[in-house]
Amino acid sequence: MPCTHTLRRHDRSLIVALAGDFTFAENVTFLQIVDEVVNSGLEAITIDMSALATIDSAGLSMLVLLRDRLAKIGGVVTLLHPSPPIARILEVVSFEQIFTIVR
Amino acid sequence: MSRSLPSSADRLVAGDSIAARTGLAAFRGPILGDDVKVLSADADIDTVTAVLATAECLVVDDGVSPGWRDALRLVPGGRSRPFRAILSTRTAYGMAAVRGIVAWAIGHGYLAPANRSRAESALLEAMANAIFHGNLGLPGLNRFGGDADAYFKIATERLADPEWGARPIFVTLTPVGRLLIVHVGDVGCGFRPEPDTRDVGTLAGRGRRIMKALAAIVRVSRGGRWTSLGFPMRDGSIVAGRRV
Repeated sequence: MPCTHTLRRHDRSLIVALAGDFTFAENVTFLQIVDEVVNSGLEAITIDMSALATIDSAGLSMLVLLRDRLAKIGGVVTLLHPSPPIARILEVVSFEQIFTIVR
Repeated sequence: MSRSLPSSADRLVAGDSIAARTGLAAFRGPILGDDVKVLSADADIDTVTAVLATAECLVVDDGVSPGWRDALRLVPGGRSRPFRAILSTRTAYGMAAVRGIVAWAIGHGYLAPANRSRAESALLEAMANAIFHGNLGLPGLNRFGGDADAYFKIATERLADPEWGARPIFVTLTPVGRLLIVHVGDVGCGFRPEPDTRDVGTLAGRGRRIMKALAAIVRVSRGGRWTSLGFPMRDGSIVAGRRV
């Protein structure tokens, strides 16, 4: 399942909804999203993971990259509604220590 | 990866035919003892998944460069390995191949459907190791000075390169006792994994943690060129004539 994304602005925050497989293959598209998000000036970013089927270590690295870039401008990233398999991966890599995860 | 629909992707041919067609004749015996299913180099992602999921023999990807055919000797043969595939790096990359291989294991009763996601995620990381640190010759992201942009760029370029992308990846599935062992091999120069880190915020180093958490056994051998994952087989699977 190719990854798709939609961006939705909500007050002072931006919701990025990812669907499908978030893997290395998405690096070009997602790095563009990172640039857009950082340049938007919005400091609260929510990644909606409810429709995500798969995430790999490259996808996780891209989330860390987004977090690091936003942190430089005082922004934060929230991971929203991961499905049980995705939540398991997030737990394995201890992402609760560096992201707010809303289940 | 987007691929056009092939005409020959799902074709089952005899060992002699594939030998003549691909120049594999020198490797008859352990490799070409069975019928061979040819995966066309331009198969689309759905075809890649379907061919692997329904394989009853050895799958050989036409996209593997003839220059690497010597490396086919590395693929163990024998009836104890009911699934063997030789894929190009480009075909092995992505979820299509992983989904097909895990679907094969579930379809043949070696894995419970409930373990699909766990097996897919672990196998995806083993394949990524073989692809990026093996055949594409890239170090870990941390050794790239943390420059993720540069890392992703060079990895994408090498995947698209005909020489790098045509290197072979080997996958075999072997039932051993109560475990299904998945071997993933590459023809790279070997890779020494970085030590486990407690730094959660680092950009790299999560693949091995994911494999260790999701597979019952993880073993890296042959200088980093082979990763072996073990998954408990579903209750009721019949292995070597006995039920587990």
